[in-house]
Amino acid sequence: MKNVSEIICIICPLACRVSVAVDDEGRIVEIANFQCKKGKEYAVAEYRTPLRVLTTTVIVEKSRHALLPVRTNRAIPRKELFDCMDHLATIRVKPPLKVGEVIVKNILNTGSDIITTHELFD
Amino acid sequence: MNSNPIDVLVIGSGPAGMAAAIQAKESGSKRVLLVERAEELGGLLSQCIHNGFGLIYFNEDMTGPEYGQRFVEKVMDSKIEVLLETMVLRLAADRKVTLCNKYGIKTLAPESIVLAMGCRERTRESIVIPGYRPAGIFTAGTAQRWVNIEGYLPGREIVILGSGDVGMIMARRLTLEGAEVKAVVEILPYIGGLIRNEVQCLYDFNIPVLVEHTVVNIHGIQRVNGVTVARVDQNRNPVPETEKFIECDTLLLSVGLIPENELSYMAGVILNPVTGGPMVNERMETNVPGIFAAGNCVHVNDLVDYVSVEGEKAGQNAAEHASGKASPKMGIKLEAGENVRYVIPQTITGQREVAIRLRVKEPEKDVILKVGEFMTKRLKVVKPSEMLHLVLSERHLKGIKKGTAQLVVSCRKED
Repeated sequence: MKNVSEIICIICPLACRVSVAVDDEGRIVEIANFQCKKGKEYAVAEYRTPLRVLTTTVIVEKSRHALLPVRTNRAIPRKELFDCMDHLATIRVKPPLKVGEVIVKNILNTGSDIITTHELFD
Repeated sequence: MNSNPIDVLVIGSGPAGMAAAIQAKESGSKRVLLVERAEELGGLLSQCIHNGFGLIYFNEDMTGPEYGQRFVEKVMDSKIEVLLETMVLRLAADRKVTLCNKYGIKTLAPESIVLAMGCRERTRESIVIPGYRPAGIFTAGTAQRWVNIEGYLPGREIVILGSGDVGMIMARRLTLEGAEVKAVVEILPYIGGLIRNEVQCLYDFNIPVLVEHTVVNIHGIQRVNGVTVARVDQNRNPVPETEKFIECDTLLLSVGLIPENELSYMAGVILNPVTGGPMVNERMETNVPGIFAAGNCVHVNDLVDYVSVEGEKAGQNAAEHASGKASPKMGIKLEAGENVRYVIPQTITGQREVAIRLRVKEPEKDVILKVGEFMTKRLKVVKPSEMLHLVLSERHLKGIKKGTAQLVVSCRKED
């Protein structure tokens, strides 16, 4: 029994629809419809664990600014995005902050920190 | 204030303007003045909190604010004069610039000017959607400002018309913030923005996409309570039998961007009706001597990285003009041919290496991109949403026959 998933490659404008076939144990048995090595590697990684950089904002206190933009400092599993959003909804920050400062260390044990992407003064 | 004349005045401090100002300074201009109407430098970058910036320019995956910060720091370090909260009211063909801010009105006469005003969004009025005029209709960029800077959610149940990059980015952003995006509606048979946004903003969150559809009616008296969508035929006319109602409280529009060129027009700069921006030569100079232009006010780019590069080019040449160096003759016109919507620059010298950018009209597979008769390039795929880049090297240019006044750039399907 084979299960086939289609992964759209985002590496170049060709946007290959790579098909990844797996057997009952979840082992990849066949990869087709890619045009380069990068695309093949992307499809495998994307099939196993899609990783995304989360970019969002946190609430600012004691400032004329309402929000401060932040991101994960490395990509996290896609399925963690909403849990991270929920956690970040509880976070409050205050000035002064520079770009790249850590707001949350190792968020939800993803191995990624939440860092500021804009400075925050006054 | 310094009484020496200004060498280069840059209008707009977004990515194009900052790069132009920095490069003008580095190219030897003594006085460079950067004029910005907002409270801070950076233009729209500060509200573009998503990543995907800088992959080409810095070889790093950055967010908009981080990308902007690199340039802001350079502006601060390089003795560029900055005027914030300052509006340019008038621009004349003799390069007289009238500025207005809280200190009053002032007219300056810089040696060179770089136009870097960027672009603005098309609105409901520009695409004429019938229906009521309730609250709850926003451009995607306005919603982006609300969500990312002001801290307001524009609505709970959202329909997005148009699948440009800003629209798709907002579909993801609003979903993450707890709103429900009920549909992204696109009149064309394909998504309008970059493939990575299609995958990571729409498919990642199972957002319904309706291609070859449009919004034909907006409902609600005080507040939007729904929209009617319909399939369109081959001529993009809605088919009445296919109409259906989608309940929502918000309609976002991501239906294209218009280069902002009121000032250019005032100064007698000739605009290209296709791009909506100034006609420029390979030095990014307009038809008005000493007035240069760069970035999204020339043509809407898909990546900020290209905007910065264009800004640098304009800044460098603006500095050269200010120092009295004569502009070489731009003897050859680049014409948009088969399946090419536009080419930038529109004129070149034909004497030295030049980078050209172009956009196709329709998506196509296995094409031959041709410049005149001397350069051909095979491409597996072309799309209107992905700008194409070509470098005409000196070796290529040697192939131009003497007396050639125009070269046609075409993108033909391989036989």
